[in-house]
Formats: sequence, structure tokens, C-alpha cells
Amino acid sequence: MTRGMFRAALAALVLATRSAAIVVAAESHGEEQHVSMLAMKFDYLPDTITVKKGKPVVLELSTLDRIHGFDVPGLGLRTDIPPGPPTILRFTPKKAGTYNLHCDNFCGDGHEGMTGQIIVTD
Amino acid sequence: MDQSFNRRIDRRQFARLAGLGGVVFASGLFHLAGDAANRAFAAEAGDFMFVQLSDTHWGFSGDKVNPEAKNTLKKAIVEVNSLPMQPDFIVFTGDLTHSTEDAQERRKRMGEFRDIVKELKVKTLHLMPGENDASLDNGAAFKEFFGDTHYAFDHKGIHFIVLDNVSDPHAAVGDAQLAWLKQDLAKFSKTHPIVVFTHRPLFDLYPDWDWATRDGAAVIDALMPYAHVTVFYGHIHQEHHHMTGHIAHHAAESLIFPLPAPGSQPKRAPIPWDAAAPFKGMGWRSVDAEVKKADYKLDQHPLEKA
Repeated sequence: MTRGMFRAALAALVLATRSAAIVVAAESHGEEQHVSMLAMKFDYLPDTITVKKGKPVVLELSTLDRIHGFDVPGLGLRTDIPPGPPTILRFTPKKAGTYNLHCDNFCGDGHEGMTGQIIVTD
Repeated sequence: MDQSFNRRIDRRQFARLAGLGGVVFASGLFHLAGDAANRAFAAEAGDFMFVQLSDTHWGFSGDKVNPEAKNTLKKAIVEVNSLPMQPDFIVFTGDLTHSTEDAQERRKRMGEFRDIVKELKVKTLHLMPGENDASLDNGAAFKEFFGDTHYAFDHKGIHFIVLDNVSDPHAAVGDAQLAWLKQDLAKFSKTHPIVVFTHRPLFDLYPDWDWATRDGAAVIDALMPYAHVTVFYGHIHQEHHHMTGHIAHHAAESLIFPLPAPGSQPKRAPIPWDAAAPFKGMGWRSVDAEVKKADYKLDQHPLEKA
């Protein structure tokens, strides 16, 4: 089994068994905080991440199937997530709060539900 | 059917009858009684009505939100056909079919949609895609069945522009179409009445739910110099009215399921079917166009209980 296949199978298992939002906190790496998200039809895994205000964030975005979008209007963030190497998004959250994110690259029947959140804490 | 619409139709029926005689009838009218009211009436004879249907999502299935999915479009067609005066044309503002990744199934749905709308008495239809029709194949299947995804036409003194903000899955109009739009607009005076039909809102209605067009601001910038511009669109499955400067934007209800008001709940999930009020939140719209005033009277037609 390739690494990609393993990740896909793991993601499918996690999503199939979840009953609530999957929240992951960014890990501290010196002056930065690092966190990863997987995109797939029609979910993000995790769908909610928490980061600390005022500390640079390195967000690693990957897709398991096709190109997806990643749009967080409240934070002024957006990128495509194409297949292949991870897409790296760097930002420093300036204000605590809960920010909605969604796929803004139409990906099929289920696209409307492909959403998540970034929670910025003090 | 609401009563105000019937009243308007009665008035319009009279105006249409006048239209059959054209100038001769109007001249005769002035000859009989050349008062201000009759002059106003004669001026109105060039007015007309069109109907907007939107977001029919043919092929959708989901009993929790619409157990009557196979009948809803057909029901709307029966209602439109029963209007006492038929519209000059009917516009479908996108999402004619529900999204599928199966290219063959997509074409099957489009073929079925095409056959169903043949039942409309009015044969002048103006179609455009929604993201469900076009975003997975950049509009290829739509073009095979229905032609161009953006175009313009003129009707009784109004210039109509159909814009495609869905064939690009990023929900953008794109530079090429924007250039075409500017070239098209340049043919008209700044006071010419202009109506735009499109699927997604051209303004940032609610970006958290992706209810926007990526380069919609550029489209509005191009339209802004024109004094009489009105936009009719779909996508958000509910009636909504908004002004960007002097430009009015009117969203239509869907013919498959309603969506919640922008930001009223965490997710933009369809509103469940209400067995006590079937078809609640679904309907279509007729528009009376008063050409000389570039004014549009909108009437909503909720789908009646089966």
C-alpha cells in the first residue's frame, strides 16, 4: 500500500466513524505553529483547527483526490489545493475568533457541505 | 397565484390587445379621447412580461428535502402555461440539472430537462448554466445541448446580457468574457436599459458560504457607468434583493429546495421538506418590464400545494 493509499484509507475510516467535528490544534515549532489538513470529496480532515493569535502559522494542505479550494474569507486566506506536493499557506492570525472555511472550487454533489473552521485563540 | 399578478395581467392583456393593432389602434385611441391617461396607456403598449425559473436541479433525489423532485419542474411548467397571458420569453437562471460526476448521466439529465421544458407553451427560452451543470466539465455538456453559456440579445428596446460565472469552477467570469462584456456594452448609450441574467450573485452576498463571484466586482465596475441596469440571478434558492449603487440585483427562488437565509445557520444545507406545507419556499417569478422607465415589477409565484 502506498503512502497516499494509506492516507486515503485512514481518512475514509476516520470520516466514516466520526460523529462530531474533528478538531486538531497546531503544534508549536519554535516561533511557528504547524498544522496539516487533508482535503477530499467532500470533507476536510480535520475540519477544525485551532491556532494561537499572533504566532505565525504554517498550514500544510493536501488533497486525496482532485483539486479543491480553501477559502477563509474572515482571515483573507484562499488557495487552491491541487493534487501533488502539499500546498503551504503561511499566515499570522491577528484576532481571536472562529473563522469559517469552505471549498470554493466546485467539486461535485456534496461540494456545498465541504466546510470547516479555523479557531484562533488568545 | 397571487391576486396582484392577476390584476396586472388584466391590465396587460388590454395593452397586448392594443399591441395587436399597433400604431393604428393607439392612434385611434387618441382620436377617441386624447387625454393624459390614454397617452400613458399607449406608451405602455411596448411593455412586456417575462418569466424567470431557476435552480430546477433536474436529477436531484433526496426525500428529506423534496420527495416531489420528479414533479416540481413539471408543476411549475403547468403553472406558467396556465397564465392568462403568456410571457414573451422564459429565462432559466442556471442549475438546470443536478451535478453528477458521470458524464453520460449528466447528458441524460440535460436531455430529459430539454424534453420536459418543451412542454412550455412559450418557445422562446433563454438558458444558462449553473455550477451543477457546468463546473465539472467547463460547460462542455451544456454547450452540446443548449449552446453558448454567455451571449446577449435584444427585446423590445432592452438589451439582455447572459453571463456565465460557473463554467470556471472557481466561480469566475474570466478575462475573456469580461472583455466581451465591455465590447458588448460599448455598443449602447449610457442610458440604454440593460438587464443581466446570471447564476451566481455578482456581488459578495455572503462569502462565508461562497455566495459571490470571484471577479464579480469587475463585472459591476463595467456595468456601473450605465444608468439603467438590473440583474436577475439564482443560485441561493430564495428571493433576495440588493443594490450595488444604482444596480438592482434580484435572486429567485428555486424549483427543487429552499436554502437558508445568508448566515442564518452554520451551514448552507437545504431546508427540509415540510409535509404540512409542501413546496414551501419554492416558486418562480414573473417580471413586468416597463421599457421606457427601465422599471421592472416583480411578482413571486409560490408553488401551490399539490
